[in-house]
Amino acid sequence: MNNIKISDIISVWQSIISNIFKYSELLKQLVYISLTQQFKKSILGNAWLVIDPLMSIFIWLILHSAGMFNPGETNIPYPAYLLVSISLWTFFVGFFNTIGISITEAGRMLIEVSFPIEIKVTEKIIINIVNFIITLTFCIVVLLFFGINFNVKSLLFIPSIIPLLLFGVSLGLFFSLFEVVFFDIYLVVKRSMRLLMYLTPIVYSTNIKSGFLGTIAKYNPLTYLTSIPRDLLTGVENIELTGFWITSGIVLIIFILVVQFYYLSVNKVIEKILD
Amino acid sequence: MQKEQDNRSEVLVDVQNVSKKFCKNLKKSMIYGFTDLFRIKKTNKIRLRKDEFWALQDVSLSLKRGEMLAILGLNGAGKTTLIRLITKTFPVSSGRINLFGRIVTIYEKNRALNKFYSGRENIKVKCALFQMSRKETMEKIDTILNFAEIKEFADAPFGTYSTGMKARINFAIAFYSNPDIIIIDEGFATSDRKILEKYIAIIRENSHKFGVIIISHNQVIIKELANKIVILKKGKVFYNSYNVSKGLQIYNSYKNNTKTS
Repeated sequence: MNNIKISDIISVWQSIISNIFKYSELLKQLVYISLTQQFKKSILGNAWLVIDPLMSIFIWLILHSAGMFNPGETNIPYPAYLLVSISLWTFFVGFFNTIGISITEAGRMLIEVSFPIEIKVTEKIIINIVNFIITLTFCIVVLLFFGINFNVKSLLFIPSIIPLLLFGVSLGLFFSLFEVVFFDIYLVVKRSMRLLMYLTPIVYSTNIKSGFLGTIAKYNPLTYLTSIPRDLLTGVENIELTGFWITSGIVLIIFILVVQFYYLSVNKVIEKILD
Repeated sequence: MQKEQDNRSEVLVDVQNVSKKFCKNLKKSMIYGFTDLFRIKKTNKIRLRKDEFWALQDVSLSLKRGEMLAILGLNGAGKTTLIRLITKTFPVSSGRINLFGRIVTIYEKNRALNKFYSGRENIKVKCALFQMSRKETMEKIDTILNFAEIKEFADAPFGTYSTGMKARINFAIAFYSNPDIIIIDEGFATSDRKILEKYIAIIRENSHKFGVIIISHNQVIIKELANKIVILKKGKVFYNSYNVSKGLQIYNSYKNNTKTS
């Protein structure tokens, strides 16, 4: 990755965008298949997009009410806090989970005729965004039920989740290469995602009274990428944005580097899934 | 007539000194794949690492519009590897492959098709995979269903189709997607004589429109269709000629000698 020139980055992005236009019909078909297929064999269908976070919330509420777990002071009712946090976490980890297996998943089609793998990645990004829109709509209804007052700043929620999206996509792209050639590394990272969730203020607040978790949360980039969108959506006043801006800048650089690396390396691993 | 003659000299596939290496050992193959990830700089010197071997070595051939090239070789000669390099599914280890036009494939198995979706939905996906626009697909969809003789089952799940129906739909999609290059890798293996004759007739009738590369163990198909032949022997081009009958003789005698030895 030494000596990456701006012109190299521009040329990779030009190629990605041109391929997306060239294969736009394939992209549409893949999105249609994915959206309709993901719960095709399930009776409840897309309702699972809401049931999944509700089940997680239910577990945490039981632990909370049993006094087994003190999440620290939250600005909004704890169930509402959990709902937004878990939805954001699912949004982030969804990119890692789906993009992470995209090369292997595309194998069946790639063997027929080669097509740019970025079509499969774009499909995964679109599916995750659509799923998140469904979950978010449900979140807003529940937040209204809890009496959360949305304000103009709540609209900033949408742009504020872009860094979280970019970070999830970067992890997904990077580790999708390992999923093919070094499955153990991919598996370790995949298994660590749950631990990472506990090290991020998702089920507890940033004000948690635990020295260890507090220190981890302070240096964990996901703290800023999840807490700022959550605070913006739920109308929290006086939000400190410095950490968010620094983290977002770093994430943007990571994203550009990962896309460059992925683009130069992906063809080398594709043949390994077809051997 | 003049245009047709010009078309016939148009090169569609140009394979220049192509080599491809693989690794015999799966674990090593993955380790090499991992280390190669971080090897960004391209190098002209290609050496074999432990357990690697040349699946193809210094292969050159071309396909022009109107040509029907049969590629023959014993199992492990490198036929399928060559096809995967031509379709750009695999990157070459060295050499160069230039393609000019839309490429479609007909394989024995329909890997890209989804069993939970209807024949009609699968046609749309596969046409898109072959870079057809939505307009082109919608214009051709009835022709494809009619040719494949599955119009009345068009909306039934693909998984309920018989092997013959799947093979016909596969051929029809490839043929009606306005291809320049058609790759057939044992794509007719599951077809009966009647449907095979239908395929051969339609390909011959339209042969001026595209170039075809055929891999088949069925020499009747090769005799009927091919006007050019390449024999691969242990990853190298052993014979490359327009004399198909002589090529078949050479191949059969080589095959028999290998069996006896």
